[in-house]
This record gives sequence, C-alpha cells and structure tokens, in this order.
Amino acid sequence: MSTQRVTQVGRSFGPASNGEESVIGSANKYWTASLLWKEVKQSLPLITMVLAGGILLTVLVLMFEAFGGKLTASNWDRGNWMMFVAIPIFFATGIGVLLVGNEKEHRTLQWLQTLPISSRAIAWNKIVAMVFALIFVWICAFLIWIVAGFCHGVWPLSYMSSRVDGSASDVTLLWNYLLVSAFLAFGGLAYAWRFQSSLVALVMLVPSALLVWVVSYYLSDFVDKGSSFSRNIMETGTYRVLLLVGTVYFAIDGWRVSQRQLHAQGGASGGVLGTWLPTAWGRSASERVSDAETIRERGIAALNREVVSPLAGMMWQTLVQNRWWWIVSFSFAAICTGLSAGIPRSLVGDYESSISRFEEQIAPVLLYGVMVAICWLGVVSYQGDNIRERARFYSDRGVSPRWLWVTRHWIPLLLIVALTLLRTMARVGGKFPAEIQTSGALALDASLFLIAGLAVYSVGQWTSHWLNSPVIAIVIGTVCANAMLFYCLFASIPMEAPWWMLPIPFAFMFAATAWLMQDWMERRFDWKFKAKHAAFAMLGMLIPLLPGLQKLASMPNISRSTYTELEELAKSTAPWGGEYVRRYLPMYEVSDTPLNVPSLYAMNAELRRKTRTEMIQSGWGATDVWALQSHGGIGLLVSELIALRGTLETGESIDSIATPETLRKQYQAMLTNCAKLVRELRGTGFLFLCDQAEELEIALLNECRHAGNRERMGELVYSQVVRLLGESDMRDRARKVALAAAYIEQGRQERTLVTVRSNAGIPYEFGGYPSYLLSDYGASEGYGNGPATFLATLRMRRASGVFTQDVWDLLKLEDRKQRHAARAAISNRLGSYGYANPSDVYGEVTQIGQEYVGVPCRLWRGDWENVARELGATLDVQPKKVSEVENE
Amino acid sequence: MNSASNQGMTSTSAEIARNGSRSRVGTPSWMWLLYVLSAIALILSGVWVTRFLQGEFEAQRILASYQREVDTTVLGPLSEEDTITQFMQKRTSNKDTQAWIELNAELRSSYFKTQIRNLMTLPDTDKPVGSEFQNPERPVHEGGTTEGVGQDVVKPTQVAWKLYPELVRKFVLENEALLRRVEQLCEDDTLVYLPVVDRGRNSMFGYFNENCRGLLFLGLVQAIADRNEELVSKRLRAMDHLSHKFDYLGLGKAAIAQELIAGLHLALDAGILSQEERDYWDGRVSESDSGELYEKAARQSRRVMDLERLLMQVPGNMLPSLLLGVLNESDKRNLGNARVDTFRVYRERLRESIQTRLAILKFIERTKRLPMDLAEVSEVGIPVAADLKAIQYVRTDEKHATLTSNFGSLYEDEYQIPKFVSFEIP
Repeated sequence: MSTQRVTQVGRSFGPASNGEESVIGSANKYWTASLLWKEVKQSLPLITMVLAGGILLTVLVLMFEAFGGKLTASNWDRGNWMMFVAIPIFFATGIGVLLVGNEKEHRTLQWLQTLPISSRAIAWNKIVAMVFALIFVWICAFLIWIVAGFCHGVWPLSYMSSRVDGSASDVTLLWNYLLVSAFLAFGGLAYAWRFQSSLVALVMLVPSALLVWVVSYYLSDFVDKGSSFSRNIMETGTYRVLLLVGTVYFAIDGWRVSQRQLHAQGGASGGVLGTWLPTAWGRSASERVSDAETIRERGIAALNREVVSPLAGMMWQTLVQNRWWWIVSFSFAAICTGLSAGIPRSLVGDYESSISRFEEQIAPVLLYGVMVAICWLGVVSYQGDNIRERARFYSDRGVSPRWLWVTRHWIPLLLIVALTLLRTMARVGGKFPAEIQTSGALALDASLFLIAGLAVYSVGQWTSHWLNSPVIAIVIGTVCANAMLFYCLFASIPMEAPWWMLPIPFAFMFAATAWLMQDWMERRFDWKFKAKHAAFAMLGMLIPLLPGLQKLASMPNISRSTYTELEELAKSTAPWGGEYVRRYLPMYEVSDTPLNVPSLYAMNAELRRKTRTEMIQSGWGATDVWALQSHGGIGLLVSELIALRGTLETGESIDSIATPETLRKQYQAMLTNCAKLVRELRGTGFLFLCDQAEELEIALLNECRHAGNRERMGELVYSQVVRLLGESDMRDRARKVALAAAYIEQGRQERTLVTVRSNAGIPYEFGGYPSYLLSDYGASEGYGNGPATFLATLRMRRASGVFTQDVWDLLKLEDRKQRHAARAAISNRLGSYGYANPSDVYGEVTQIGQEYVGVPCRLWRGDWENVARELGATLDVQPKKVSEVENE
Repeated sequence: MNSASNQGMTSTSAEIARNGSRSRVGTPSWMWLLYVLSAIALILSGVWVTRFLQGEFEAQRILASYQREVDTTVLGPLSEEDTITQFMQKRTSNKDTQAWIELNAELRSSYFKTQIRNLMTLPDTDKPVGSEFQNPERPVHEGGTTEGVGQDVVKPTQVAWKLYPELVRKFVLENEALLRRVEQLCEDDTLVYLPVVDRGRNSMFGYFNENCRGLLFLGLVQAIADRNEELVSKRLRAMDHLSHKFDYLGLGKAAIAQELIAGLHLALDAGILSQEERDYWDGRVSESDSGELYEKAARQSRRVMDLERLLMQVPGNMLPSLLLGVLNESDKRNLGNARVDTFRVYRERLRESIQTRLAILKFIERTKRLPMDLAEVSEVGIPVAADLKAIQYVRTDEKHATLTSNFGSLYEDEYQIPKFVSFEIP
C-alpha cells in the first residue's frame, strides 16, 4: 500500500504523460474548491487584522475630529483618503508572501505536492485567491471610506478632485494606488516562491518598490524640465508604466519559479540572490551535510572549542540566526538614514524654500523607511526562534527566559544606537544650516531619533511575540507602529498627556515580552497569552491618558438641580425678542477723510441734541437700548444724565437758552424716564437688557447720593427713584428669569445648530452677549489647552453652564466677604474679559488699551445693592455726601 | 541523525574525555568586544537622553522665566504688597476718585469719541492733491495766525484740527466745563485711587483716557490760537500730569507724552511760551526718557502674550523645547516687536527734536545770535539731542536757520509734529 503510494507521489513529481495529465486534470477539478478554501482560510487572519486595524484607526480619527469639532464637510480631505488607500496597500504587502511563505514555513508545500494536483493548479489557485482577497479588501476599504464620508456629512465621491496636481488626494492617483497594490501583491508572491524565507521575500519588496518609485521620479526629472504641472503628469505616467511592467514581470517570474519549484525535477534555483539569501536563517540545500565523517569531524571540532557561558552561547546563536537579516536591514536603514539626515532642518522653523526637492519629497519617505526597517528589526527578534519551534529547544533545556530576552534585543538595540550615531555624524558632516549643527540641536535630534527608533522597535518586537507567522507579524507590526503614532498624537493632543509620559506604553511593550518570555518559550499561544499581551499594552496606553481622564472626570459643570430650576423658570416666561423688529437708529459717525469732517461734525452735534431731547421728552425704550448697544447702549443715557446734572450744577447750558428752572425740569423728566426704563428693561427677561437696567440703576443711585442733588431731583422724583432702587426682590427675580432664558435658549440653539434667531436677527448667543466671552471661562484653571483637545472642547461646552452655576450661587450670597470672593473668582475665571472694577462705578474705568467689553451679570451682588437698600430705608432723611467706593 | 554519526559523537566525547583537554567555561573575545560596544552605546545613549532631558527642563525653565520677567518688570511694585487694596492705599489719593469716575462716565459717550476722532482725522494720502478741496474754507485761528498754527493749513496733507480751526473752537466752547474739570483734576500728578476687583497679580490697572487726552489737546490748540498764555501753560501741565495720574506701575514715569511734545511745538511756533515756561519744559524734557521701561515691559508682555496665544493655538502638550523654538521663531518674525522698535525710535526722535529746539532757543536767548551748528550749542553747556544724525541744523545766514527732524516714515500720527522748524533773528 505504502509502496504504491510512494510510486504515485513519485510520479506526480515527474513530467506527466498525456494519460496522467487527464487523471490529474480530473483530480484538479475535485481539489480546486478545497484548495481555494484553504487559500482563503490562510489569508483570513491577515484580512481580519488589516481590516480591524483600518476600522480602529478610522474610528480613532473620527473621534479625534469629532471632539475637535472638525467632523464637517470642510475637513473631509487628504487624511481620510490616505486611510482608504493605506489599508489595501498594507494588505497587498503581506498577502502574496503569506500565501506561499506560510506553506514553506510549515512545510505544507511538500504535502501539497504529494496530492494529485498539478503544480499549475496550486500556483494558479494562489494567484486567484490573492487577487480576489485584494479586491475584497479594496471594497471593504472603500466602504469604510464611504462611512467616514457620511460621518463628515458628505458623499465622498462628489468631493474628489480630478486635478493632476500631485496631491495625494487627487482622484487620478487612485490608479497609482491600485497598481501599487497589484505590484506589491505579485512582487510578494514572486519573491515568496523564489526565497526560502518569507521575511526575506518581504524585505525584498521594499527595495523593489523604492526602485520603481525612484526610477520614475528621476526619469521624469531627466526628461522634463518644464512646469510642475507637466512634470507631475510625467511623473505619474512614468510611475504607472513602471508599476505595470513590474507587476507583469513579477506575475511571469512568480509563475515560472513556482512551476520550477513545484515541479518534481525542479530545483530551488534563484540565481545569485536565490542562493545566498535563503541562508538568512539556515544553510542552503547544497551545503547540507550528509556525510557521517564530516559530521563526526565537525562534532569533534565543536567539542574541542572553548566552552562558553550560556549568555555567550545564546548571543552566538542569535547572531548566526539573524545575521543576514540584520545586515540587510541595517544596510537599508543606514543608507536611508544617511540620505535623510538633512530633514528636518528645524523642528520649528519654516524652511520650505531652503530645502531641496529631494529633501522635500524623497527624504521623508526614506526616513519613514528607516523607521519601518527598525520596526522589522523588532519583528525579527522573535520570528527567527519561531522557525521550526527553535524557542522550545531553550525551554526544554531550562534556559533563563530573561537572558534569552536580553540576547534577542542586544544586537538590534546596538544597531539602533549605531543608526542614531550615523545620523548625527551625517548631520555634523553635511552642508546644513549652523543652527541644526549646534550641540544642543544635535543632541535633541539624536535623542528624538533614538527614542522614536526604540518606540518603533518596541512595537515590532511586541507584535512579533504574540504572532507566530512572520508575514502576518511583519504586516501587523507595521500597522501597529503606525497606529501607535496615531495613539501618540491622540494622547498628546486631544488628551493633553504630558510629553514625558508618552514613552510609557512602549516601555510596557518591552515589559510585556520580558514578562511573558517563559510562556512564549513553551509555545503557549493560547488566548490567555494574547490577553496578557493585550493587558500590558492597554495598561501602558492607559497610563498617559490618566491625567486627562482625571481632568475630564473632575471638570465642573452646572448641577442637575440648578438646571431643573432654570428650566422651570425658562418655561414660565416667554423669551424677549419675539416681538422685536430691529430698527435703524442714526448714531454718531466718524469721518474717513477730512473733507467730510465739517458736515459730520454738525450732524453729530445735531443728533446729540435730538437724542437728549428724546431722553427728556419721551424717554428710551428697551428696543432703543438694544439697537444702540454697539454705540454704548445705556452708557449714552448715563453720560447725558451726568452732563445735564453738571449743567445744572454749574449753571452753564449747552444750548445757552434754557433757564435753570427749565434745566431742572428736564433733569427731573429724564430721571423719571430712566426709572420707567429700568422697569421695562427688567421686564424683558433678556440678560443683556437686565444688566443694562442695573447700570442705569447705579447711575441713578449715584444721582441720589450726590451732594445737594436731592433738592435738584425734587422729593417726588427722588422718592420714585429710591423706591425703584429698593426693589431688590424684583431685581433678583428679573435676574433669575433672564439667566434661565439665556442658558436654556443657548442650549436649545446649540442643539439645533442655530446661532442666529431667524425671525428677529438677534445674535442670541447668551442672553444677547457674544458666546466668545464665556468660551474661555475657567480656562485659567488648567482645564484644556488649545484647540482640538477633548478637555478644551468639553470645557468650552460646559463653560456657559459653569458660569451660570457660579452666578446662580452668587445670588444666594449675602455676606460681604463671601460676595467679594465669589465675584473675584468669577472675574478670574472670565480671564481677560473679567471685570476690573467693583460694581459701584459706572461701567468700567480701569482698562488697558481697549474699551470695555461687557460681560454678563457684572453687577450682581455688588456693594451697590446694599447701599441702594439702605437708601430706601432713609427716605425721610437727607442723604449723606456720597461715600468713596472701595476695592472688592 | 543516523547511527554512524551517533557512533562518531560517542567516540569523540570519549576521546576528549581521555585527553582531558576540555577547557574551562569562558567568555569569548567577540563577547568582550560586544560588551565594550554595548558600554559605549549605553554611555552615548545616556548622554543623548540626558542632554535631551536637560534641554527640555531648560526650555521649561526659560518659558516660566518669561512669565516671571513680566511679573518682575511690569508688576514689580506689586510684589511688595499682599493685596491690591494695600497697593492702592499706599500710593494713591482718593481725593478725586469720584470726580474721575464721573468724568469717565460722561466722556464714555460715543459722542465725544466720535467728535474727537473726527477732529483728528488724518488726510487721505492716496487722493490727488487738491481733489478734496472743492470748496475750501479759510482755516484761520481766531486770535491771529501763528507760525505753526494755521499757516500751512490749506495744504491737503493737513490733519482735520489744523484744517478746521472753527470746529475746534466750537468743540472746545461746547465742552468748556468738562475741560475745566479736567484741568482741575490734573493740577498735580498724584496717582488717583481707582477701586478695582482684587484679582491679585491679575488685577487690571490703567485708565482708558483717550477722550480725556484728545479733549485736552484740542483745548490747548484753541488756547494757543487764542494766545492765552496762562491757559496754554495750564493745559500743557495738565497734559503732562494726566499721563502720570494713572501710571500705577511707573511704566511711563519719565516718558513725555506725544501730544505734549506736539503741544510744545505748537506753543513755540506761536511764540507764546515765556522764558520761564521754556526753561521749565526744557528741564522736564531733559529728565524724561523715551519710555525705556515701557518699551521693555511691552516687549516682555508681548512675548508672554505670544506664548499664551501659542498655547491656545498649539493643541495639547508639546515638547517644551519645540514650544520655545516656535516662540523664538515667532518672536523673530513678530511684527509687534518691530512696531515697538519703531515707536521707541519715533518717541526718541520726537523728544530730541523738542529738546534741540528748546536748546537753540536758549542759545539765542543767551547770545542774541543764531548758533553756527549744534556743537556750538552744547559747547556753551546746553544739552542737545544725542542722535544728531536724525536732526539737522542748517544756518542759512546770520538771521535765518532751520532745524529738520528726520522722523522718516516711522509713524504717521494725528498730532502732526512739525519736521521743519525755522529760526529767525529780528
């Protein structure tokens, strides 16, 4: 039975006769579905991981944008496009190598060869599986992109640029990316057939891809010296042609080599590369010893060698195991490091004009290539021991896991330091600006490079530890390294993590592999092992976020009870403004040329006379105050009131025709109108106007307290005004209603994304005040720096609520000291918009460089309220001379 | 492994054991080399990382020191006091507080601001000469023309207050009472107590007195036109005192106000400053500086403002060294600093122009002749301007000379301080 089988198998390796071909042909049909299913299962982990990574990254980016308020159509740009094309390209890098490399790694290719399937069918099924998997991933990536577009509120296809301007989001470049993915997939497949080691195949993809890119770049540079537009067309065209040629070449070469390898009489011959590169992790087939004598001699020689310490032994083993890989990676990284040493010229300056086109376009890719090579160094640290379960050898012999861990990283870490040194030397020796060649700048650059290198390496080695397949580890390691870059941006920008905490996750990744070395050596790749790895990584990534999370949790907000009270109050009153029609009131005008000065001067003087007459005769209404808010609002009225009283005091009239008695009557009329206006303003329930009413009340209070003014005012008017000032309960009631209306209405408008009331055109942001006044409320207390951070966004969203809570609480305070402290605290939280003077003065007198910008509730619970109340109690006695106002 | 090789191995072991040639466990030389290389790499990495951390902490220290600099320079006097109340109570007088508050409330009206701005309107520079004078009014100050006031007013490059003296007169007349109150309140330069919300070092200082300054300046122009020497003297002093009344931090203690220099030039053009007055102002100008402390404070607070703005613009936490780099880069390119520089040079030249003019007048007073050059003026012990490149004195003959102040195109202001001054010996 077994002899018969061996014969059959032996026959399948040899050249098939016609009859045998038909047998194999029918067998092929039988096996095709199973073969395809096997290929699908083989590529499933990579598909899953790449898509999961892509979805996670997309969600992260969307969250990033959402919290930064950038999840809008205007921000739908290059970043999202790059995400779309990156997913299939990462997949394409691994799929070709995976389909063949895995078979070689697990020696299932030999088993396949024993089956009655033609070598053509084996190779063809792999190509079919690869192409369909790639198409599937492209479709998935496209769907992810479409969903991301919907999240931005756009239909992505209508937002694509069709210009050939060289920008990465250019839709015409989609063909480039499609071709790149095909090139990488076929290239990977061809190299995987050619080389014994799948890692070598993966590595070979890097120079091949770079070669095509650089050749097309320089070819177009050589051919075209014209405008950048035609240059871009040249570059794109050349690149596409070379990619196509490369893809076809790899398809043919891959097919040819596969047939040769799968063929019974074919040998693993891949030319020069094919002979020396497979030795990366073992000897080539031709060097395999079979002669017993030779083995004996070697054994004697080995036993005669000096016996070394376990550490040296393990070092020697890893050195021999990984030397080719290290040489290739280091050489590639070193060349890229040397070429990219010129960037960045400065981490802060704008040197775009002074750097060459090479440094602008090629060097960043090379620098990225350095980091990819370092990441792969990390991946290789454990993959060498995965091959044929070499790690178990150590485990079986009780080798210390710690020392094994040390020996796996010793050389790669030295190589990273060497790369840093190389970069520093290149920067010292290159023709660069002196400012990047200072010792400080060099040390900063070297440190950042070293830290970045170590971080990337840590991700590579961590991924390699829990992924047994070198191909998947290489692809996922690279994806993880890119994801960690996003994580660092996420931690430092939206979460405001301190810069010195960012290395923590990477340290945890090192710690994870060191801690789990015993499990790894014993090959316990169960879910517990992976869960432990995940726990280490999650914990490491969580720690830098803790300060931000703690701040998010402790960030103040309006209390539930206050909100309920405000809601009830707001429901009980109709908001002011529904009946309002904005009217144009002529106001004083400034000339922009000397020519118009006389006419404008006269017009302003006439307008002042009219305004004053109006103030005396009919008085102002709430709508007048609102209409003139940008010209000073109630301040205009107060100014005229003081001016009229001054004229009464000195007896000098502006009009020079009015008698003192007429002036007195005018003054009294103006005061009566003011009292009426205060009540009207309070009744609006509109915060801005209520505050204006209080400004007027303070002016009236000062008039009442002014020496000798009671007589000028007349007893009737005086008592009217004093009674008005004594209405503390009504004032407080008006305040509460206005505050409730302002806060609840603002919340409603935020929810409906309406900032301007359509029926009246009032910029109703916070009771008539612009919302920017409150947007920085509390920023000085360390909650949120800069834009686009979660903390700042949340603080800004809560700012008006916290302000509302603070002024609501202020209304409950009666004690002078407590009131002063609370007012100072509110003023501090308002930052540069905080009020400078206590409430007793008219408006603000202390200002630096600019005129006063009013803030809501500025006068609440100022000392003037007590004075006003006391004044009400002394209606029957003569008022004392006005006392000085004091600091708060 | 086949049986032949097993056999070979066994015999080899026996052979070695027989010979007793098995060496002791040791460290091979390449391992020593590795140790050495590793030690070098470790030292090198340590140096880099230490240098990096040092750099970051140093940058953090520098950033903090910027804030402290402002505290010590601008808010220096505050450090002696616990509260703003104490600070105010020690240095200020509350005699006129209520009057100042009321004056502010009255002048706060946009009417004053608009009318003062109208009278300070600068001419259009891009309009063709003469196009704006379709119906030119005769701009002559009542009380007679003077050398500076009303002489070259028909030129289209004049500011509105020079073009329309009757409007100035109308404005001053209309606000006579206010002007008197300002003069009264500015009889001395005692600091005025203003009530503030005590926010510690964040408390705000200063007084927004632009309207008050404009009112006084226009009052001075009218007083000069009226040739009222007493009023001119009073208003000049009021202008000087006003600039110190609210200077709580002493930033402009020694600096002389721009409008005051303009006023002095106008008064000298009109020839209504007595010898005594000229001596007084000569002394006052000589003891003044160009506001160096103010300039220093402005520069430092600008840097802090830049830093604060930067922190608002740069999201999240950035490496301190990068933040410092960005700040220094923006500091280098900061137009604000250039403006501070320009303004300092301008103020310096303004001060020197009036100082030289007063010095030449003193020389003429003493010697009854025109000096040959500025060196001759300083030879007789009269201090002249330090920067003689910016000031040119040309004696055309025994009776005529001109003094040209080169302000360049540094600043265009609404006071239109004369660039050319002529001297004449009767």
